[in-house]
Amino acid sequence: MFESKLRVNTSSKRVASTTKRYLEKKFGLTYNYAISSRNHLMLDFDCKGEKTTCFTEVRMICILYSKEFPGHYSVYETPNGFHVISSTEYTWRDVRKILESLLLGIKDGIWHYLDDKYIEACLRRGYCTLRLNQLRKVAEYSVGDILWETQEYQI
Amino acid sequence: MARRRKRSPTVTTELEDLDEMMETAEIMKKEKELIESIHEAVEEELKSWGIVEEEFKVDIEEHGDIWWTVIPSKEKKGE
Repeated sequence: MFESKLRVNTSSKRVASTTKRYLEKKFGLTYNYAISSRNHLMLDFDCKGEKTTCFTEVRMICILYSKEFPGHYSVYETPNGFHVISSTEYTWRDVRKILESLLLGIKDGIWHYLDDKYIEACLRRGYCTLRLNQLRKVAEYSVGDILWETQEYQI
Repeated sequence: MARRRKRSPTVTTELEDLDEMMETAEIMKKEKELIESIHEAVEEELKSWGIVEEEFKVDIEEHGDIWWTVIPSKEKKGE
């Protein structure tokens, strides 16, 4: 069976959206979006089947880091875990600093669900990138505060 | 009288593989051509199909330092 290796990069959300629909219609295959940036923090959590405990870690990281590096973070539930994406723009220097600090936290055993391979890949590439598939927004945090959380994850 | 050589099973398999490879190459060529056409005329094509713009689930504003990639899904169609 033919498996497409096609990748289409664009800086326009609108072009990405129309391209996806175009390819799906043309080839009868399904396509996803990926988002990439050097200026927005993006994190990937693999919950290993423990969604509630995993979310506690997501919340802690969002509260701590949105306070230390003032910003607004959104949390999206994925089939295997969570994505965190900052809508605040940082410099790559700050994003790198956050990623390096989180990686140390994983190595020190503080964070259990944050994907270290993902962070290492971001640091190696010099930008963050996430595949967006079956996302559901579940929480928002701003400068150390909880803005809102979906009912099932509230404390 | 010249004897006809039987085609060995290995050769048959290789030919089948070649057929499949050619088919894949043909689709990839079509994809490449398609991308070129997308850059030229995607909006007109889509308008003619009546496709409306899809909403993104990530509420991040469009910005020059963000880029979007359309990638093949890992899931099979219908899953």
